[in-house]
Amino acid sequence: MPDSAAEAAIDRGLVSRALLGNDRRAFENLVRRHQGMVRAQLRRLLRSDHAAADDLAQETFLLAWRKLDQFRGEARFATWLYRIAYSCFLQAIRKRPAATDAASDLDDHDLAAPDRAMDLELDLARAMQALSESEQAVLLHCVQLGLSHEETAYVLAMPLGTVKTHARRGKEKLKSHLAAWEDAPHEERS
Amino acid sequence: MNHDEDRIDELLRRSFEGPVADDGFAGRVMLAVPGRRRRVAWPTLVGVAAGIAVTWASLATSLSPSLSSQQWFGGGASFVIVGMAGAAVLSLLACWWGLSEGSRQ
Repeated sequence: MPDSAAEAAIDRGLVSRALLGNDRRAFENLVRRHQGMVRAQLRRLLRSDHAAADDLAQETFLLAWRKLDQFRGEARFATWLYRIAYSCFLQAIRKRPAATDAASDLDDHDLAAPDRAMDLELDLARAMQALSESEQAVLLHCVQLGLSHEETAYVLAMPLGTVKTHARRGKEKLKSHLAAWEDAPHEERS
Repeated sequence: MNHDEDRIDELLRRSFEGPVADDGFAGRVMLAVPGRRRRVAWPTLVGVAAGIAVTWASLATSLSPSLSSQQWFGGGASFVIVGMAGAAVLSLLACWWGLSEGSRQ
């Protein structure tokens, strides 16, 4: 990650401009700087439902605009956005659990395609789906989005100890799911 | 163990697509962003002034401060003093609740 302290300082400056001068261009700059990772986070959480992820990302930035005066700089601006995005995601899945199940079924169907079963990334995706929702969320934020355990605890509103436990258990489960692949990496399945 | 964990981390990072290209997303968000209303200070100031005036008027007519202080220093916990203390505690609780609700939203 490029000099994160400097990035955080730029974000704080933009937030100040957006708040004090009611500067929409400063906020637009913030959106441009962070939309990529927020949308990536939501696409992962929504299992590649890009349209729904983009709707939630838009909702996230509108909420961020409304609540900008509540950003006190205790966390990085990106972490603060991830937290808003995660809470939007939780509200969305509470509203429509059936749609989420349907998306999971589609994913399972895709992953079950026999000619792609040997692909390590698909095996990893399948192994990820075998984890609990909390373990998946913790690994997404800790490993894939590169947040610290403390930042992940802040985003997911979980105690730090729980985050560490989920991260450890999640990795252990992934390791055991992928053990067969590792034992016989060149084995062909038809 | 650490090596295994590093491999799992590496696999997870490789499977992550990374940031999504903008493709007009920021522009769409900015179209939906509403204008910010400026917060006006005068209703708060008028409210505070009215509160002070009403409290002063009610203390001046119904509860005599000199009587209360005489009773207080005389060692008696009169109805007036207990009532005022109760009202102060309730006000502090309401203030704390308001602040915590405000910071949660």
